[in-house]
Amino acid sequence: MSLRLLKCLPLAAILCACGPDDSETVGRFGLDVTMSRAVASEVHALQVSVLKDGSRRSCTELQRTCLNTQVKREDLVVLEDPRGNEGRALRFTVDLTAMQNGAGQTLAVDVPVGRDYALVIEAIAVGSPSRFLGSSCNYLKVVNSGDNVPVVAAPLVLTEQSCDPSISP
Amino acid sequence: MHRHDLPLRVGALILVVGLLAPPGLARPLFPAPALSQLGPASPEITRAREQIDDGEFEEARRTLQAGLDAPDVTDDQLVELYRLLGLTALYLGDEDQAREAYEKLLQARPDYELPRTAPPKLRALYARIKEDIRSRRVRPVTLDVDPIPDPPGGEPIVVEATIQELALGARARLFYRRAGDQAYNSVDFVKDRGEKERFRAVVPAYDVPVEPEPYQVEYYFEVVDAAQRRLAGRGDSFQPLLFQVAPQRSTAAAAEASEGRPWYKSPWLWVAVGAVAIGGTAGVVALSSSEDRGRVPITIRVDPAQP
Repeated sequence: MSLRLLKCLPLAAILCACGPDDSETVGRFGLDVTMSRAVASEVHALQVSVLKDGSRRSCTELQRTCLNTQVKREDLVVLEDPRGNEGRALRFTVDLTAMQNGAGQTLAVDVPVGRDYALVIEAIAVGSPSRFLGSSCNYLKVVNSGDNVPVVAAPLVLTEQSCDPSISP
Repeated sequence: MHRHDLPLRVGALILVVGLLAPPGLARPLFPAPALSQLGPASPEITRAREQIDDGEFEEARRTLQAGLDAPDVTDDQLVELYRLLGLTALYLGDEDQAREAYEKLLQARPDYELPRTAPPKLRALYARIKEDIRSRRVRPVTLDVDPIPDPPGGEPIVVEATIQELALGARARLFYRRAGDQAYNSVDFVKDRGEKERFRAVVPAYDVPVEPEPYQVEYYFEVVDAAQRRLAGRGDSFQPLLFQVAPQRSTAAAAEASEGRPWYKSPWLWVAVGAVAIGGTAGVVALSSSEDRGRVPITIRVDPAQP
């Protein structure tokens, strides 16, 4: 290999790193949730849970208050995050700076392949105990092992309640 | 006499004897069967065949009518009864009855032909009847059936249908499969003994078991003729209808609601217990083994329009 080609390698590597943001590609196949500015100003973490028998649930009701006060623990499926952490509810810390700059934040949860789920995202405020700010409940008709169909997610608006949304793993 | 003339002379002798022999000796080794000696048997069919062979056509007609009125006549027996009735009616010169019998026969066996041994007069009449039937507009089969409501699971699903103008030899069936499976199972619609056009199909309980999670079953209805051509239907294999089998929890609730017998004698309870045991085992196995998962990416954004 000539010396000139070797000099070009770093440049080629930098160019390869350019291109569309990866999060945009996955976003088209999952849930795109918007949250109100009121929630965004206080939110510290997002808690994701998936319920069995989604078609029997009323998302409107579930969004009123903490999920753990409305369902049994056994109703929740075991989820896994990309780092291999498992639990019936997964918490993701919110990158507020990125969110407020309009960049958005991408999360990923691995759900057991199946049908008829309801996916609930709860916005949690920092504190001890943690505080419920609002939630977005969405019906997931089917979860395939590959790419999944896009879901129009319910917006996450401020519905502050004095309940602790924590769900043990 | 020269010796080489001998074979020639023997051959000529055989030819002369053969020509002069009485007609009885010229019968084939295996005589052709009588016109009536074909097809499946039943007591009426056997008796009618004998009566036709003996030339007792009126008696044969009565026997065949009795055979048609008998319960539990198979399709093959019906075809044979109509074939013999058509033949008897032709011998009796009753063209109307022959036409009616052959119409029913041809619905089931569109390619049916009279045996070659049938007299030319009968063959000509049969050909005319066949031509008339072909040129006439056939009344369409109508199938009237409601979609299956979501069943509780663990018990048979009974589907009632009204089918009009169902031709002899035609079949009405309910095809079903669990959503995601490749092949369809099928059950036949069976005539309700009480009413002429009412039919009933039953999906067995073991094909719709109760499970901890609800699941969907795809299905469609179809009526086909003897040549498997679709005559009527609702849904099809590519665009099936759908019902959802309720999960075990609803079934358990139904068990609680049942009255009039001790709770531990309710079959629902034991179905639920079985389902819980199976579901629990499956759940433990599924959790302990590497579970097949699908990734759901979630993008969170702040909506500047919402305060």
